[in-house]
Amino acid sequence: MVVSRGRPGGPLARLAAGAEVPVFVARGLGAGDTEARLLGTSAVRVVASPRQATVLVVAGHVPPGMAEPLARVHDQIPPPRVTVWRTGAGAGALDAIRAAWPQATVVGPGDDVAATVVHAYREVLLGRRPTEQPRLADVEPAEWRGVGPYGQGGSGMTGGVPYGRPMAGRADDLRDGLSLDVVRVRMGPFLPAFPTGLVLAVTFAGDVVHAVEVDDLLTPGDGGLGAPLPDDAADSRGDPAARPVRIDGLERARCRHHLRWLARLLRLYGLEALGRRVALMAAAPVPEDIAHLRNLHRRLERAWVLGRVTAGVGVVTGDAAAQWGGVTARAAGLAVDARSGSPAYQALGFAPVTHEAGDGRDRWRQRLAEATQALELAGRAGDATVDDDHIEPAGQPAPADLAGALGTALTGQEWGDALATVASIDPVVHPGAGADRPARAEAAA
Amino acid sequence: MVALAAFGAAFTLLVATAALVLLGRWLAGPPGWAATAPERVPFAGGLPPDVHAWNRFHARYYVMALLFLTFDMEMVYMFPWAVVFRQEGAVAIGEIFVFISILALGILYAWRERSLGWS
Repeated sequence: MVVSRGRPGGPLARLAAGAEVPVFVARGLGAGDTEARLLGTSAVRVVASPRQATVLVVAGHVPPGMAEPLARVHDQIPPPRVTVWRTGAGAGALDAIRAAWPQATVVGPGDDVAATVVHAYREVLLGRRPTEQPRLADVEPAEWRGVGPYGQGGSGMTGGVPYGRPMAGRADDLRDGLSLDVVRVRMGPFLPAFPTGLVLAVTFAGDVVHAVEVDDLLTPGDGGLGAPLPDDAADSRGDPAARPVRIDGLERARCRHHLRWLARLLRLYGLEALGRRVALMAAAPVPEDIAHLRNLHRRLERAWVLGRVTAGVGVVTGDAAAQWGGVTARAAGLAVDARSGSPAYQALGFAPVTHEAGDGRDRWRQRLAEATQALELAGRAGDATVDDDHIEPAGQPAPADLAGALGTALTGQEWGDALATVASIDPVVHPGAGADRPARAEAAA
Repeated sequence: MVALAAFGAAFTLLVATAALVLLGRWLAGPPGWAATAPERVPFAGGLPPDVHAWNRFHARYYVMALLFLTFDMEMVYMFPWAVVFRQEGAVAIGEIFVFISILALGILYAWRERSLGWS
């Protein structure tokens, strides 16, 4: 739905300028805590589609493959629109963005992104700042050729390529083998439910997922913009200066990561107030917050709707869970955790938390339990350190065959459940995630 | 004129609604922009659709639709019943309960057969 906020400077726009700011967050690589900060600000409402937004917030580094999708998301925000780009301070990143996106407001990691967003929104609605012009040319992907009795471009119901787009193909339905139309749609990379940079080519039969492929837009190269933000919720394995790694810092980062994930998930399920509360907790969790986390856990268990909509959705157990590893495996009862073998963690009395069902509900229970456990460990750890081999990443690592693992998890589900499954697994996607596709095609040939 | 007077309230409502809508439009002002081709594309995370949206799929909720029709028709039977049930008394009440019970058994059966799912 396109929301009209009136002519900039007009009476309706002046009223709207006092309302909460509808923001669409486009997460690039290394988006850091940008989304959590916005989720935790009461003057801002993070929306699910650019159609509902006025402010586009871009966070971190956007590789060249994601530049055009970003421009399309920008254009899909109905005017008046403004862009705020939050970037890390790497190698002239700010100047490069200012050169390529002259209309955008660029802020660094130290600036208050929420205040900038609110200010930019007020300025554009009050007519003190011009609305941003579209970034993509106003051309259809192909010319309209009005051939055929219904203008569909060819002869017959399924002939032709209207506006350069072929008609749907056909495939046998997974449920009863009826041969019906299937539609291939590429989802991502800026879908709010998706992890950063994930692009899925989903083949739909009706509203059910028929097949899934992974596309890769993350390959670095010329034309990328912005720099990753420093991320205090990432583990410090990539940083040789932070050796040996202190357990308390590592576990607090784990807690932040899980809470940010949970804030996004709650926002996705429409539980905005709870999501805001979690986002605020995720800012700087300290061991004294354990009681608050326990309270939150009880509250979520009592949130009947959340339990009901996540139970039995996206079940990943057994071999599939072992393939994923990490949080997804532990939510399915597999006690795989790199920390188990560490003498330092054993001295702290560490034992992996697990859940049994491996569904969406057990995955949020698992993450919340791990966040609580991480704070307990951080409180007991003192200045204990851990070696590289025994660092368990906070996020869900993507398996080698990401396309296969996602295909197993999503095929046959309705799209809403499939989205919820992707959001609840939330794999960390790396460049080259779709690179195994040619190899598999060769194997099949 | 006397015959038209009965519509006075409706006419007033029509004029008032139209005035409110026009006032709202005047307050909002002209949009001053037209959607570009990339803006018209449905939002799927930033990528354009590869395939045209015109496609056929199985309306798997047809069983649900048939059930809806059944209960819709039940209402049709209840209108004449509502006219006569005061004259007929307890007998009419009993009969309509038998009728609704049979339909309720039908919906319980459909529930058991998992016909109420969307896909």
